[in-house]
Amino acid sequence: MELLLNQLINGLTAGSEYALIAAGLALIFGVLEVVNFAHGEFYMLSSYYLYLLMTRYNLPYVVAVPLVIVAMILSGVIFYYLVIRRVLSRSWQLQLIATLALSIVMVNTAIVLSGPVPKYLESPLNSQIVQIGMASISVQRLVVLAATAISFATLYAVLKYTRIGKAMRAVAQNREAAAAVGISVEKVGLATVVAGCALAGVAGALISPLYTIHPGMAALVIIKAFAAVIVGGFGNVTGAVLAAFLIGLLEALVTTVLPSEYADAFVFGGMILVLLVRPHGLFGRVARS
Amino acid sequence: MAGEPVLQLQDVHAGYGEIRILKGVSFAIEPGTVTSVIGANGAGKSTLLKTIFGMVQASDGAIRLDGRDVTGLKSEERLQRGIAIVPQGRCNFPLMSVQENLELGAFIRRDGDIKADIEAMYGLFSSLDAKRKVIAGNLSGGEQQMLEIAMALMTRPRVMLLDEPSLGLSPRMLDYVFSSIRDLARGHGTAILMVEQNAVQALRISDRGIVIELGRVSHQGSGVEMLSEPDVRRAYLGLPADRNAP
Amino acid sequence: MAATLRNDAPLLALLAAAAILPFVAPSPYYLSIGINTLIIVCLAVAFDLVVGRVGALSFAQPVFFGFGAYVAALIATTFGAGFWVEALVAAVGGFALSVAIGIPAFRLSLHSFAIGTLGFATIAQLVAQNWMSVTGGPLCITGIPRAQIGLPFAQFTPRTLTEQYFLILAIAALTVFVVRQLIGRRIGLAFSAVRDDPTLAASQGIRPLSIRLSAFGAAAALSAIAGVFTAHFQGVVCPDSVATSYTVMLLIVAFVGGRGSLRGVLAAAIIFGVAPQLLRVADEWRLAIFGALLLVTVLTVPDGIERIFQLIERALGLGGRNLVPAAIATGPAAIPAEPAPATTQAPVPVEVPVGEALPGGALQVTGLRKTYGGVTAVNDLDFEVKAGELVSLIGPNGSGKSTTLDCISGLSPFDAGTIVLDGQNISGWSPARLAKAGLVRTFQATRVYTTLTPRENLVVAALGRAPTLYEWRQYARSRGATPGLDARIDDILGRLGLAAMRDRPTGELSYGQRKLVQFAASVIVPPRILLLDEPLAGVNPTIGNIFKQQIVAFNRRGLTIVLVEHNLEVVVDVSHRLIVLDRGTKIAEGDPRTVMAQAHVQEAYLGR
Repeated sequence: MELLLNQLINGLTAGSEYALIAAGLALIFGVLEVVNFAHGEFYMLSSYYLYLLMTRYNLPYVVAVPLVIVAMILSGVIFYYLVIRRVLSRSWQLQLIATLALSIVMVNTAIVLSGPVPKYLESPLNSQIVQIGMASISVQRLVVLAATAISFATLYAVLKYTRIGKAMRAVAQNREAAAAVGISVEKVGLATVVAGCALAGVAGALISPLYTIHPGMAALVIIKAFAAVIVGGFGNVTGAVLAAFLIGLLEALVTTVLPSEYADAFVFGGMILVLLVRPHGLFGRVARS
Repeated sequence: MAGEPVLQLQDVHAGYGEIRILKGVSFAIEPGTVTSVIGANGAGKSTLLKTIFGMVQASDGAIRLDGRDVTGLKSEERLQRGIAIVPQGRCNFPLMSVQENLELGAFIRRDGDIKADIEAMYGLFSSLDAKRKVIAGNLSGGEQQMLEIAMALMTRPRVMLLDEPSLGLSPRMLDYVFSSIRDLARGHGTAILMVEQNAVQALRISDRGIVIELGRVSHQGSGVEMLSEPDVRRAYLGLPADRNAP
Repeated sequence: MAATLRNDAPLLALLAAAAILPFVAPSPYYLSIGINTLIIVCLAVAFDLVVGRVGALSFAQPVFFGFGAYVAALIATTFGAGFWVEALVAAVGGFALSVAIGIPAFRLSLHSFAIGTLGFATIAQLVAQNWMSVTGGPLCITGIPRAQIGLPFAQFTPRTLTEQYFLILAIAALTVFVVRQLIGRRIGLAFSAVRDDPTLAASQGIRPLSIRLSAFGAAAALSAIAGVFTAHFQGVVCPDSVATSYTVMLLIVAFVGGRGSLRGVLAAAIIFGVAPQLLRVADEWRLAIFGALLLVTVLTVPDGIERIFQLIERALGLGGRNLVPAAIATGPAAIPAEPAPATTQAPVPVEVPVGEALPGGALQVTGLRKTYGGVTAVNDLDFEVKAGELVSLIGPNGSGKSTTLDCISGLSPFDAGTIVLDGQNISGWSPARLAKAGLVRTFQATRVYTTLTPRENLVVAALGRAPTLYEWRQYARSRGATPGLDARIDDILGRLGLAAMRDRPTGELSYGQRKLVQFAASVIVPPRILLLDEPLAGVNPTIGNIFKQQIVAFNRRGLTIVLVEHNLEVVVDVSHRLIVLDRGTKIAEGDPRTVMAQAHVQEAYLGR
């Protein structure tokens, strides 16, 4: 029972990580129809921002986290103007290769600059433990869950009620119609990419204290986020988030009986199986093809 | 009819990358009139509308709205100044309701009259009135076309560009759409420039016709003149050159 | 023969240059650069078959390379059966593995395919790392002996670098030869067809999955053979061999070279085989620089080196081929590139031709029902089309006409009902099977293979309609002239006024002309039933007239036609019978003039 509760929390934490990254991927795909292969590297980037701020500038964790988000927003702006805007009207293969190329640059630059040796960060919240029933859970994990919930509530509110959110939904549904009513696809694209990067930043800032920071840290995570985006129905943000939590929980359950390497194979096998039965994903709209 | 032109094109060139599509187009249209652009596929009709709206940038020449040059402006700015477009094919937000679509039609406006204008659209297009909460994707083809025209009207345009409004419409809807277009021009003073494959019907409701050939204006005249011009009848209308022929 | 030699001359020159390299530069340094470059050539040329020719962005390619390497390592370190056995097992096994991966993966579309294959690659790497008993996991398989190549006269074991170099040169030459053979034959046309428009291919009788698997499998087998070489050359095989970092290199080569361009890919493979050595000084930055190079290439020269070749050709006045539009479809420029036809011409005179009689088939549709997400698009529809009849389906928008065609042609599964062609129940058949049975459709939007010429479009359509066995025998033939078929193609293109366009990329034709090409493809092998979906929509009156006359002409020769069309004048003129649909139900049927006079038809359809 204790093990199960612990694994449930672990699953939800991992699910949060995947969901924050998958939501950004799904958002960028849903609005701009661009598959961002560099998205995982933004997660990695935010972890290094946090590491730099905390070790080189000795900032406390609570101060560093908001700064990381600001840094990620700025990185998103640069990313948009440098890459995304220039491939927006290109074929999907070119978009994919452009973002993949950026991810190669980012990973390898990180390897050169920081070395392949993993870094560890201590969050003060990591060592504080609360007792829930029989399970003892670190406060950091609870903070992860709370911050994820707040992030998604904010995202929902922005999309539903703000002018830019409406414009994003409009561009997602019909880019040409959006242009015809005077919505600037450029500005919407910028907002979308920045939002995606900020979400990845939340993931990096919150979760890296639980794991290690290294240049390849995004590789497996991004594939799971992709799995969530596909299973969730390409471009469907809610579907991607739900699927991400599903993957996190599934993984946590499987690791109780199997070595973790096989848990990964299990997740991808599951993704392929879902797609065989439902090529448009679990929550996909058939209309969007 | 007579008066200052609301929209004027002077030697406009435009294209995509290395491909030149418009090679010096000049004409003018007046408020409250309907003008049809006809021509073969690939002659540059859609490109012409996109260039006027700013989705395609003119590489040379001038586009003037009410005498003021708008050639260098972005689409959003042209929309602010009074040029609206209904592009070819479905041009609404299929998962949003009719009401939300109309609100988005007024995206560039920040004044307080939007609600009243939406009500006015429901008055103008009564078939939409009963379907305010229906998502646009579930409307019939003709209703969607009406919705798109209403969305464009939400900006209170001086010039409205319509790209193939009849595409895929049944004859009943086609008559309805065309008569609505004519009423709009007469009633609101909006100048309408439309590209139509269905050239005969389009010219019948048009004050003027313009033929685009190889990226240039090859013929222009009143709708009636175009319907009787032998070259145009044969090449674009699929009619015998002599209008009295059997 | 002379033409072939001229086409092959640059490749043969390249081969000759590669062959004398060991004599010009016999240093181990240059030879190992050469060997690594040739491995990249093998993989990249095979990879381009998938990414460039059939347009599937696969991340699974290194899996087959790694598979070949492990096969060689396992055989050589256990019972040592020699190079040929290893190569055979690797190629056949690689092919089988690719089919096993390809069948589920090709069900996915575009992006999902790319990510799905990435999932397979990840699984493969996890297996290599963790299946200790077979792969040795991270400890690798070591001590792999040199390859034992049995030749008719002796046993050859490449020991020196020069010998290794010639072995991989032979494998690279074989790879290029095989790929060139594939794309130079009719299956190459099928590759392009499936890349340009898989739905159209299926509706013409070509099974996109089989075609894609052929390319995917051939590429896998070739990569696996390169893997066999590499295992012997390095003497050790590690899980890294299947790592996705190879994919990155392959993608760089394919995109920098220009997808679907053999010369571009070869040039890029050579550059990227040699360049890393030149970048030695910046060794730790090497991969980052590669990534930056790829990014800059994609952003600035999206067509890659192929584009540079073309510019050189144009500068030298060689004319050169046109760019392959689909492979480079990049933004708005690719969309409206319609040169304006000479428009003031008089309507092309089209006589109603006499021709051989075409035995039309009969079609019965009973109780057809189709619902989409709660909306009933077609509701218990019954109708019959007799042999040789021309029946039109009309009705307002959303009345279910196109859905009915989609159901009959197998494009859309339906909820209830049976469809019978000449007494045979064809409900649930795939579009390709229906096309082979003689039930052919056209589409409302123009669907043509834009990178192929009108002639090639028709060759593909004719191939698809042939019985499967014959179809595949035909794929092995050259894509050049074929007297019998070409005569028929010239005849139909001439009648449609397209003779002058015969050998231009179809993507350059106007909308109406493309629609005519689509029509020609549907009748190049006369079907038993022809379903036409709004042939006149969006075409100018001149082409509309051609359509009208052709429809009448083919029907008079006996072809059964089901026509969906909004142009009522034409419909009433040409049809034997009208069926009027409204909200998925049949509301009237019969002689055109009688039907159009009925009050409820006018109410539903014309609103008068």
